Amino acid sequence: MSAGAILASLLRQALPACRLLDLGLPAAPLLAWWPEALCGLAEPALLPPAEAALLGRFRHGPRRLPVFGLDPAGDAAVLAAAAGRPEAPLLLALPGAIPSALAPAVEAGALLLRHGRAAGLPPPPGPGRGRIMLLAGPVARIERWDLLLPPAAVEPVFARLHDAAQGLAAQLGGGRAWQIGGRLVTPGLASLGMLGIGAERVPPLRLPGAALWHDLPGVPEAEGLPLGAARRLRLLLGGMPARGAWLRLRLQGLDPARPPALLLDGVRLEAQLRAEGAAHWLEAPARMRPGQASIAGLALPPGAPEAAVLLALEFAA
Amino acid sequence: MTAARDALTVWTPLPPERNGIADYAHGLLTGLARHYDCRAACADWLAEAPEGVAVLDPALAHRAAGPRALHQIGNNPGHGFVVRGMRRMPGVTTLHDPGLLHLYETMGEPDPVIGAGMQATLPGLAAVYGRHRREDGVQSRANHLLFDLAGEVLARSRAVVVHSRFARNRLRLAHGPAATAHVAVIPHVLPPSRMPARGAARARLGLDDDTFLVLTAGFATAAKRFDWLIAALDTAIARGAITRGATTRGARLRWIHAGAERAEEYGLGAAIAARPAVAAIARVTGYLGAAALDDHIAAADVLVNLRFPSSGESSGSLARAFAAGTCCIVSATAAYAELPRDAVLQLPLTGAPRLLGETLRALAEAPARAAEIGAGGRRHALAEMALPAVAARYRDVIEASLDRPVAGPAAPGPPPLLVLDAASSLRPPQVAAALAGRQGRCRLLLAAPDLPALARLTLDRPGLLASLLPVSAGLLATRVVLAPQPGLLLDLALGWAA
Repeated sequence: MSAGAILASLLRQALPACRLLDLGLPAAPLLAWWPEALCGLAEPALLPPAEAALLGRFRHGPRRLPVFGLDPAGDAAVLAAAAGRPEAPLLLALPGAIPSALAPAVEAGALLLRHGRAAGLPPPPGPGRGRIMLLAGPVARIERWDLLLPPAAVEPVFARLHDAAQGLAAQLGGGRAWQIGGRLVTPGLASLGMLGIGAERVPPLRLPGAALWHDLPGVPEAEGLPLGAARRLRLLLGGMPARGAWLRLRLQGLDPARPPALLLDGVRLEAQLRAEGAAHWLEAPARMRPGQASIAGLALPPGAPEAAVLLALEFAA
Repeated sequence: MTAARDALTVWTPLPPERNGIADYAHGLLTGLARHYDCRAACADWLAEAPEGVAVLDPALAHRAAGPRALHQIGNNPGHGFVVRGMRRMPGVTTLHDPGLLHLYETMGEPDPVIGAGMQATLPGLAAVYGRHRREDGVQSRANHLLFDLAGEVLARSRAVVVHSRFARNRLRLAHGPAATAHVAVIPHVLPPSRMPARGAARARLGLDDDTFLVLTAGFATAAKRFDWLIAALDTAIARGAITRGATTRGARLRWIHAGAERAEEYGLGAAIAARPAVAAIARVTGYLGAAALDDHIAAADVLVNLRFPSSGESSGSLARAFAAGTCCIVSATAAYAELPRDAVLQLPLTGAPRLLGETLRALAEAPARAAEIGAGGRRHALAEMALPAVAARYRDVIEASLDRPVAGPAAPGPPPLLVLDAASSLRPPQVAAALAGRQGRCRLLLAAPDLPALARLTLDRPGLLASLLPVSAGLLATRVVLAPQPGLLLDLALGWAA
């Protein structure tokens, strides 16, 4: 799962204008590392009803966009938001087949990021596409993805991805911790690998409160996500690497005498409250579970003030 | 190394929620934790579970859950999340109260779901009462006695646990032997904590040896017949049996209600105030936590625990009184009539206030007799209601039910299409017969020879659809169609929630 974090970090730098729709739920491995990303399901019929009900709670951004794939009206709103800006091409991250509702977007030239080998699959509809093979993750568990994009974009995007990989490696243990290699095979075909050596390294996750997927009735504001009168909050993080780190929520407007509880995947964590300026960090050691989207939770005790605002979320050392 | 144990997800309210089922579940979890790795799915994420039992957000309880689930349901507005959990993760359901109409109404279930529940209980009466409810908003106490709304729980559960043979028989009479073949009786459980000693409890409450304490407990509802107790005390005082609050042997009589008043259900305070002689010896404590409630029950000479009418509900206060060895007076009805004669005093329903007054006076004169009956109740409870035995019986029911099929969600695909000739002679029974036994989405075409004929029909019979559709049918949409036949196409949701 750490491949998703690496890939998302590289692609965000190489394709900064793109709007990502990660259709990898119930895992969604790229979502957490791409703060403005939309998310959804490629095959909602396979999802158990309880998981569908859970994912159906979440909304994102000022337009309260839902998870794609659960409701036709919601899907239309997501597509309108995702494809609404010509200067921001749509990048679809797909675990498998292309959902029929997305065929028009694919025909219109959306970029595709397909898990596994795309070489043997029938070409997607629409304009011809070049391919960058991407290999990422620890050397013991390498994941293969294919980025399908306009042929003319292969060379410049490959170059930007390569630069991004070098920069990310420098942040995460240096060149000795990574094998980075790749080449431009033809003008429309390239490959790039960023493989971790030794301990698994993942970029720290730091998300502003306003960018989080949440189940509150309101909308985020510039400073964060106001809880209003809500006593509970769930946050959809997406698929996370199976590793231990500190889960932290930065909150404003708390009463330290009535500290909230922090939950991960529905279970309360042993959390502590730490003041920092006018805000507080609510933090606990946590271990993410692979294979499913992680969900953080916050519960305010009776008598806690109603003016709390979630400023940020971190999952880091 | 410890062997891996099976996981059990228990959907339940827990303390600090103020109801007996939350307390019951807390105690039961302590016993079940000896058999399973228990997780408690609770709407209150900050609820208190026994040590070693994690409290789970119900929305995520399906994740990493095994096939074993237990749902604790009572007729309480706070138990809606348990019903919704049962729909998604079926397992064994404990019905603390076979009548669930109040729960369904307060958890926001749509009218057709309630109509379907009424129909499953008494199909003949549901058509009339359901229409009164749906069209005129008529809702009476009779509805709660006639319609138990337990049909969905019976159909969606691998097994159902009730606490008395009365409750099982009542379900069987309403729903038939086939639908209730998986209903098991497991007695209520004794609280896992040790009850306080009587002397210490009385000392904490400031009661001296000469005080004869009559206790009632729990939420004050009309069915607990406080009217009978008040009349009994008032009459006894008026007749001089208890003079100025003192019996002939000199004992001072006191009545404490250890619980909260729900004025909207029964105005206990007002009823007491209307009888000054009773008011002089009575006190209502308001809601008590477990420790304070235990003190009151252990300190009491008599727990008066009446019910009429009773739908088979169980009583946590009674279990606590058994554990404490406190003498209990119950109504000779429903589940209480099953208790052994040497374990409780059973009060006949006829002439209850007079008999209750005489009984209280007699016990106040001879408190040793009350203690004797209390000891009998404790012996019965230790034999039948001890936590290890009850938890083992739950385990047996859970394991035996794992392979039992339950009613599931509707099959994927387009909903079935039914066609009825929408002639002027079409009447509700024909529509009800066509829809009988169906659950989930359904399309019904009321076919007409042509569109002008359809228009005439709707003009001739204003309110056509409201009159034709049974109370268990929710109308989602209507369309006038030409194919496959001209007519009115109804998109319906039938029966229980999907």
